[in-house]
Amino acid sequence: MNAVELHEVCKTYGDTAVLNGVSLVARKGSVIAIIGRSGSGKSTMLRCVNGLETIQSGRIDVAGHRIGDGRTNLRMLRQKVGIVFQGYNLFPHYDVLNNVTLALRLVKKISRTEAEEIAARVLGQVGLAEKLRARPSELSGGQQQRVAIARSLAMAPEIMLFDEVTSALDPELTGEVLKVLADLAGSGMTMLLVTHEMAFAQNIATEVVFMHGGKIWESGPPSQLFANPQTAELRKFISQ
Amino acid sequence: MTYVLQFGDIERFLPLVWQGAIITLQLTAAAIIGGFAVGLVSAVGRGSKWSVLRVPAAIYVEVTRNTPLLVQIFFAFFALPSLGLRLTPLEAAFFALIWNNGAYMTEILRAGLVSVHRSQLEAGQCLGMSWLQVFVYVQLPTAIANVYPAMVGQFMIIFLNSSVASTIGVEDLMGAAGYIQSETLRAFEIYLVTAAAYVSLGFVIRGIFAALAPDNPFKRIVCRWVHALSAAGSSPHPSRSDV
Repeated sequence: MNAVELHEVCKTYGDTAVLNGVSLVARKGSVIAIIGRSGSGKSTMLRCVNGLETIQSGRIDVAGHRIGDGRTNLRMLRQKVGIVFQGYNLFPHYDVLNNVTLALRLVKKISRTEAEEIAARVLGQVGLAEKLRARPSELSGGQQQRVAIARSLAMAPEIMLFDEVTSALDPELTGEVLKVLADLAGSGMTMLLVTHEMAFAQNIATEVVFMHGGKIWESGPPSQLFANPQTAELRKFISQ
Repeated sequence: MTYVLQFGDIERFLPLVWQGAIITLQLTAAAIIGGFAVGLVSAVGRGSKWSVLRVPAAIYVEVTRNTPLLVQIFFAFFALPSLGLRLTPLEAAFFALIWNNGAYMTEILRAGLVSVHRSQLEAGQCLGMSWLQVFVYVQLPTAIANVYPAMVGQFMIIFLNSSVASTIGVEDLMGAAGYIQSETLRAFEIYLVTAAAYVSLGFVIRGIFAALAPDNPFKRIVCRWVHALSAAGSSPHPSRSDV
């Protein structure tokens, strides 16, 4: 069964085409790493998948919802599709526990006690069970990013999107976040990650997608894609 | 030249000072709460993409911030009756102070709202929150935290400026002082007492807002205790209180 399916998706900002007919299929439980240069449309594609960006043509089917027909219930969709950003985007005035429980209580209408149990579980999952009462500003970048992942996981999404989640981190802190991602991939979560961590893409992803100029140029299992690139663009990208 | 202070003459009028202080506090509380509410609505209007909301909010703010409070209060008391709206001095003072503070709060809250980065709002949306939920639970708390000192500064200004109400006959602290002065001719003493009263009230108001400050560490500690106590009854999370 397909968790995410993009069909000939086009996206423009004014006259600039950012996505030029992108088609992609993610099966349930697959981990897709999206690689490519800055400006190749990777992040935009990811943001289209949970409706943060509108598309001009084509369609996207995500977790039983269709984007592109103008009638999508984005709030329902976003409960099934979690996203984590490069800049963490934690709510600065709430402590870790409330960052995680806020949407559970407001969106899922779960009681405080129950929400806190869920929060304790997901924060344990990312190794931050002892930081419940810390404010985001009191945490390291890696810890903040792990809280952001926990905040998304708490909503029990079917699909997780990761938009360059380690790009703002020191190499030292990158490791702790990648470990969480690897655990998550191992648990069978469907994941789409935009990443610059080639080694990670090679080891964890079930499929790697190379984007260039708003199009998918190559895709396939990482072993095949990295060992035997078909296009000059990918060869050049990998060799850097 | 020396002047011998004689508080004896004004002593019997002290209950008037006390009553005046209460009216001053009432005016201030109304101006703060009402002004905040008006300012919030108008700040949202000012940032709206619809000009039907944006333009009236902008006119309100510009007109109010470019006229003296004294003119506004006179307008409310002396001019509005011509339109059939007859207000008592106290009502006119409430109206003018809320109106005035609302305009300043609009600008302060607007600054706070735009200071919250778009990505924060996106994060809320991405968790499935509605626009209203994102506004109330994500944007507004951060906005207020970011402009809190400016907000409290404006509250102190409106507290001091509430003394303008005395010009239309409101028996606030300043009004009481004027009356006692005319009865006793002890200007030095009564205005000394009045100044001291403003200083003490201002001190108390500042203290209240310092305690309510979003980044007040003491508040977090108290919240944590309350939380721990309430949790102890139902389902205890022992790790929660000792972080």
